[in-house]
Amino acid sequence: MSKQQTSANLYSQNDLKNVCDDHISSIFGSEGYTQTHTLVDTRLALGYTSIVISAIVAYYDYKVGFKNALVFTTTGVIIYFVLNAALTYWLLNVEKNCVFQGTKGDTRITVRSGGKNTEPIYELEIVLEDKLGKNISHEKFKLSFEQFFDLNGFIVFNKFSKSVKECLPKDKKKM
Amino acid sequence: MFSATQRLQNVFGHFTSVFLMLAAAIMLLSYTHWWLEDIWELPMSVRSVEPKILMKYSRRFGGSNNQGKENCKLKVDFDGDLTPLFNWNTKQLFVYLTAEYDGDRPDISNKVIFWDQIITDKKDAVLDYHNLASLYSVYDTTNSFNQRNATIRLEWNIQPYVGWLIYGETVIDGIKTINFPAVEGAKKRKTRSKK
Amino acid sequence: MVSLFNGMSPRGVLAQVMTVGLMVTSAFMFWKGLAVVTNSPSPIVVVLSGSMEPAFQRGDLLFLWNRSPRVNVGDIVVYDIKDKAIPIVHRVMRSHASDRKQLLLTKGDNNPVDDLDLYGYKQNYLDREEEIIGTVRGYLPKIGYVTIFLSENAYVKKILLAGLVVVSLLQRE
Repeated sequence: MSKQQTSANLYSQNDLKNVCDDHISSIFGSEGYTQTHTLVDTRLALGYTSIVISAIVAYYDYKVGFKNALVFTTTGVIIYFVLNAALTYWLLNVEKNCVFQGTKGDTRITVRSGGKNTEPIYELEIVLEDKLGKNISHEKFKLSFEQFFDLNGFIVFNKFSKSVKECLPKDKKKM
Repeated sequence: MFSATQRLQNVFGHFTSVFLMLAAAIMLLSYTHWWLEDIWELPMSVRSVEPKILMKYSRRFGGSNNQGKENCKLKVDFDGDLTPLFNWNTKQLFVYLTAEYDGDRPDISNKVIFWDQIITDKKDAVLDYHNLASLYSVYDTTNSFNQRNATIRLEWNIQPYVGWLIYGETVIDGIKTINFPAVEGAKKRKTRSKK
Repeated sequence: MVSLFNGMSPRGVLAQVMTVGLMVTSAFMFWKGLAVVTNSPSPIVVVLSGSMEPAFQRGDLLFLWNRSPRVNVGDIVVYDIKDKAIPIVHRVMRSHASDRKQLLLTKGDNNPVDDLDLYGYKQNYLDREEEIIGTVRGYLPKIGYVTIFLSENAYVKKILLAGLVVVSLLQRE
């Protein structure tokens, strides 16, 4: 899975975090979790719908002129901004930097990542829930980028994978 | 701060917000200043307004070869001090003399500018005119002013260096209305033989 | 271009393209929203000529409002006559209004005569409803010069636009 060939900028926390995010799914995949894409798909649906609406508004306004398109444009603008608000809400309150969501048997896992601009730290939040949505475990971890990036900015996948897997609850690993 | 483009972006963003904040500060302070100066209550003394009407036959003055149009000009005497309109945010002051009059139907109203003046320096903002000829030869949409009455106003518009435009009028002391006279001489235009 | 999305999943690529799309469309929809609110097809205009100097110079940015059914004498309006290439920013010198219609005569502050010659053939007045895009309410100096520069140097515009798109595709979050 690791196709990463370009190096990350070691001075950019954001860059390092993005590289890590890209590798998360393959790690949990190898742990037997089947990835579900509902969160991302909803986001994409919201985003692309608003882009399409914007394109239609632009075309119709161009076609029939400002005055004739006024009602249509107004409606379009309102829908666009409502969708945008929904998208923002989705990103901030539902998706919350989710980088992986998957299931294994009756367990559902949600992995979120984060970090501060000024710290070389990769923050991981792992939530495990049962079928009914009851919390099994909810833990936060801080991984140091230097553990799994080499001097040239390439990620060392094995080390990263090992660090992440250590964050999984022990009993679940044996399952 | 890890790449040249990002640095450039940050500098540019910072520059923009500093600029906008500065503009906002200039604006708010100047509007407060104008408001404190009570600029909508400036007096203007209008001593005389003499309208004069002539027939014109060219398109430039609303007429045509076959049909003449009443054109009105004014001679005015007025004085007043508009210096309070000037502060650090005044780019130009546009002063104009308007006349407002009724039309043939009750729903029609007309308003025209007879004279205007651009003032860019506070020193020029003390107005004192004697026998000032109005700049414009004004005509109506109809052919005649029908000896109607008109309300005279001296209005101004401040164009700021930054911000929104302000309009207002002076409080006239003296002549506030005029009556459009009948056509002077009332002579018919000679018909030309050559075309 | 493929190398742009190195190591990203198909959904990652879609999300990245969406971010750029949302950037462009939100700018556009913000503009349209402003147009709807001000009732003006072009709520912000850049001054192109010097006919209103010294009030407005080339490159100044004007904010328009078009909700009032009648404009006032002394107002500075932007009008767009059919078949004439560019909108003009001039001051209203005369207004003849009835319940149904308002006729306007305009003039540039810096011009010696009124705008009769700028109007259409045999047209003596502007029609408020048909030809006025908006009344000038707000003013920012010089900022619009960027757009004049860009529209007069078409290739710079294209390069800049392409560059912006590439940069935003490269940049995540």
